[in-house]
Amino acid sequence: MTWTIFDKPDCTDCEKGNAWLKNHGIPVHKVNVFAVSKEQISLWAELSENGAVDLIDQEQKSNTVYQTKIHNQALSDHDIVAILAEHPELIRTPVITNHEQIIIGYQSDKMKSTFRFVKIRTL
Amino acid sequence: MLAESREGDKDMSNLDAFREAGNPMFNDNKLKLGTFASNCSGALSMTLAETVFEPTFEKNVEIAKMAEAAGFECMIPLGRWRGWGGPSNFNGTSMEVYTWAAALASVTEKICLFATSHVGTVHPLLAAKQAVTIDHVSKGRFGLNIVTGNFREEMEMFGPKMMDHDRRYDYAGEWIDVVQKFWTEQYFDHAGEFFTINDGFMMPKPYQNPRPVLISAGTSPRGREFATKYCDINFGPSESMEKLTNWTKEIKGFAWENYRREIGTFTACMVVCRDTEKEAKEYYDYYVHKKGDWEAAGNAIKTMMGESKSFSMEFLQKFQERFVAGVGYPLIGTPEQITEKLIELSATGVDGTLINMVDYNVELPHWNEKVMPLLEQAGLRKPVQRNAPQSV
Repeated sequence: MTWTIFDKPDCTDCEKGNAWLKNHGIPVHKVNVFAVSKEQISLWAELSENGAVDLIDQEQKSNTVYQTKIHNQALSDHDIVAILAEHPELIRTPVITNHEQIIIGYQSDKMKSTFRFVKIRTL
Repeated sequence: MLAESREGDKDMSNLDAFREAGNPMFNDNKLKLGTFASNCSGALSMTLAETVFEPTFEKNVEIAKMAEAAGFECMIPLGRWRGWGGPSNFNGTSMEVYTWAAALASVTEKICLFATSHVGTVHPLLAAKQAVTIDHVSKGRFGLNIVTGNFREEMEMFGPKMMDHDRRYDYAGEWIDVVQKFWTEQYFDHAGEFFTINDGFMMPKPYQNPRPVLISAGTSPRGREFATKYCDINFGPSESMEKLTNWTKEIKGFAWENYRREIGTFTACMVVCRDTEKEAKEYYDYYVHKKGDWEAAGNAIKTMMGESKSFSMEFLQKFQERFVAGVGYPLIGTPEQITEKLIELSATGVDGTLINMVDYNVELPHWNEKVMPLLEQAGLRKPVQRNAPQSV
């Protein structure tokens, strides 16, 4: 399955994630997170270890939407997905996925263990 | 040893044959210069800072021609087979060292080209043959940098578990013995601990008589033993001027007392040269602190130094910054400030230094234009012909 990185501008972790993939020779398709659909976010929530809560960028705590809709709220996965679909700036990036596995944020150790036995070319 | 080949001439140094042949590594320049690691991504700086430098043939040809035109004595590659991880995967993309040297030998005329050979990755017969071929292609400008390897994950890509430190030097000693036999003997047998050679033959012999320059970088007691017994130049610490002074005196003394050999000494410097001190410091801060790949540096420190708890956080932090910045003595400032530091460096007794830059292709022309004339004025280097282009 093809890997895709969902990133956004001015994101240090996205810069690291993109650099890691490029410099480790892992081919990846690049998509701006602001173009992501609600269905994709829903799939990501299913793939992530703790559900949709993993997708929330905790660095955005000063964001008004975060303050009013997320902070101290009892939210279901369904609620979180809906909020993130409407406000993709609150998604923790990068999101790196092949629709079967997911890595949320720049996680060097997880990338190292995930990207093994990667076929780059076909003979 | 060279002295043995000139029976009766007991005052000859083992380096005299190189001097008589006009080998640049032993010329009259008081401070010799070389580039380092231009065959690897990042060269020596662990950073995500923007750079036009890439470890490609085209970029290396540009660097080689600029360095040669300015009178640099050598280019030395880094032996590297995988990266150090982190977002930059520092050194992860690299050109193999023997083929790199051969390729650059065909497009240069004066500069010395080395291959940094991990002894455990190449049979001594193949190493000897490759070295001789490049020596002939370059008409006597090839040298061999002998390394034993200390990056476990890298060495174990070749299969066997990496030997421990001292054992690697046992292996390297026999390895270079066999290489030198191929260079200097014919139809020989060798039955050693690690290698068996039956009726060893090699033609041609090296272009350089009797052999190419040998260098090494180990400074541990076994590393020093190896360097002083076999090599013509040893690379040493760049932590401080005081350490450089002590080290160069000790190793030269050790080589003479134990082996009646002369040995040259080189160190390494990382360079940020700008027209103002402010610009230099700002760029250093940018590529080290804002864009530095501290993860890769941590991986390298952990691998090379073990997970010893003997070092304070302050010491590791300082050393990690040096790894990120580019290893080597920091030369950060204006051409004048850098020249002052190089005068101090030369006064320690070292014969030369490699210099490392974040972006060789962009920064080397500035160095050649601004620093090299000052080094000539300071008496550290003789003038070169100025009709050669300073940049490509």
